[in-house]
Amino acid sequence: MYYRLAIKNLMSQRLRTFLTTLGLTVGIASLVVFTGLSAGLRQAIYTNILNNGSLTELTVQGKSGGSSLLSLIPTSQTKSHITPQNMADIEKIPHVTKVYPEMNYGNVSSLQISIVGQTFQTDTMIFGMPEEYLADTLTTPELQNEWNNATQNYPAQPYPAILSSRIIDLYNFTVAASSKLPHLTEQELTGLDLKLLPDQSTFFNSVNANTNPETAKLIGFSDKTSLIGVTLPIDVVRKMNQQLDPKYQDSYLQLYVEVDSADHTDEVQQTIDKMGLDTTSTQQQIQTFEQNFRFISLGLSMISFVILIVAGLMIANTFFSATSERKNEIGIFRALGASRTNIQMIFLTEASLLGILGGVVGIIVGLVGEFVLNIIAQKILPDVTNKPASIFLDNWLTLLGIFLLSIFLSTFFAFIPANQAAHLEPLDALNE
Amino acid sequence: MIELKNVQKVYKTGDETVTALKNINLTIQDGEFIAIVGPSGSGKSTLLHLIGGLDKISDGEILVDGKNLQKLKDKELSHYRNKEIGFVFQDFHLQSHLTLLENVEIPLMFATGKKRKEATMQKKAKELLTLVDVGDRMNHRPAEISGGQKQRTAIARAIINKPHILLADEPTGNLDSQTGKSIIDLLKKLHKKENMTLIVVTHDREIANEAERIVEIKDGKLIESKRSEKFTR
Repeated sequence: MYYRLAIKNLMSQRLRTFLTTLGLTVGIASLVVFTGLSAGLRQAIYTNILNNGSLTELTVQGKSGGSSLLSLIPTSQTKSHITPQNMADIEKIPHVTKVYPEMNYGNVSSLQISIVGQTFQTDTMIFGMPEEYLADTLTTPELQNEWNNATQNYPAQPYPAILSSRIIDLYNFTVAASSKLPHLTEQELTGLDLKLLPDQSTFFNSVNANTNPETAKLIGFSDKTSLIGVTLPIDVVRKMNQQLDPKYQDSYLQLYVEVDSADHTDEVQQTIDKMGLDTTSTQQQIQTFEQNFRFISLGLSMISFVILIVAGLMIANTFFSATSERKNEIGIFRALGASRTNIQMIFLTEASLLGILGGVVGIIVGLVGEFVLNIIAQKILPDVTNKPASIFLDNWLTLLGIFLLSIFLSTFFAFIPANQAAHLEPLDALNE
Repeated sequence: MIELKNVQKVYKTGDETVTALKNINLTIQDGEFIAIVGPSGSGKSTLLHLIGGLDKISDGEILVDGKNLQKLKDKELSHYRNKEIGFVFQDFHLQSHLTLLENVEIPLMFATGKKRKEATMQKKAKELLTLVDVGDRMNHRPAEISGGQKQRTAIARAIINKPHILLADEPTGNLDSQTGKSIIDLLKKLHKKENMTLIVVTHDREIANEAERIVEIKDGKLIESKRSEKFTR
């Protein structure tokens, strides 16, 4: 009966009900969009981080080193590289299941590539990685054999090579965009011949030497390889280093350490740190991201909060007006035996109905809004690698929470007017 | 039984004090039909409101079946109004956005204790609307029916919880004489059928003469309490 009465009361004031619901709808819709956007961005960034390494992976580098371009250039200040002994020690640490080394060619090189009828040349690094670590890219036995046989067949060329997935984004949005060249895809580039020019650089004249060019064949792209270079089989790079300077043949740029469980990464990390090596983990990256993302989430939440407070104040205002206008009705109800609680219930039921209505419509409007905004976003945002299908991410628990929040806010802001209505003296109300 | 002992009601309006009722002593037996008469502003409606628990006395006591209304808490007083009192007002006080059926159901909504099903509530309201001869208009809204039908609906609403006491404040005040008479006949019929105590406030002597006893109030004082001419004869 309360709900029937509440529906009748709301229907008898259609315009007011519509405007109040509209306020709540806008608040709830914005909350759906903001929480969806927040979760969507978080998911996209998580996906990106996890594509580079799992939660059980650690990256180990030499002390005071790093993977920046300058730190890779062999100078007198170069950081210490990792030795095979370091690798053997790490393999013995409890909970370490596998260690993958990455080696770099000891000098800067250049890469020459012919695409879309033009030949490009750029400085590059040459990295070496084992086949097991690139399992995501070397998915077929043929590719795996090609990778492994390159060592045995050395110096037979072309070497199999892998580029970073992001290199295509870099080309498409810098070179192609500025020079009005066609965009390229991984499929189009796979199988392409690459010309490697060891010890030749456009930027660092001091490293230039008359070495013979080497050829490689692009066999795939990976999220795990470095953006600033070409990745070849590790033993090929080792042999190239032997030619350059034997001191590089047994030193690694970095190690990728697999731990048996994410719970043990901290422990393993501490042990490696004690060995005088630098470590970074995917977990650390996520923690750093979470710290930074907190500000974005907080900002979006504040906007939604302000909108919802405004909507709540609208509801309070509506019910204060209703209390004033419906004094006679309150008086009649009191004469007919309504207690203060009954009067409160009548108003709060109406408020909860507004909350239900505002919540349902707000969520639908929010989801439709997300759909439309996502279409616009997909058109505006560049087609980068790992671009999410939607920038929004919703789950039914969040939506249920928002729906309940809508009902809670509505009844919360109607509580004081409802209480005021309940405490009117019956006869005073009846005589209005 | 309703007992009023030295009842006094004083209103304060700013610095001014108005005494609406002075030392009223009155006893009303169960099942009695009483008319309270007097000129406008004499305090007769105030007396009705005090008996109905809508207002509080300033001094004295009102006992209903031994219960002191002064001492009842809000919840108990609401229960008293809901279960033991039925109100009929001069201007009907029906909810314009509800149908007659829904209007009659309202007091059931506030009834405490056993929870009623909607269907049971509707059935009871329909029976009463049929009893007061507006059964064929039960799904209409108040704006779509005549004054007499509105008052009949208000009477059905007043008696839906089977109260012991029916209080009518100028029930024919907004009706023509013929319709007014039919309303009084209906109240009398219900009074007899349900053996309710019926207290009608009126300034119409003809209606007052339908009662068993007439109580006259003037300037807040009880002037006279006598058996009506009809019953004296």
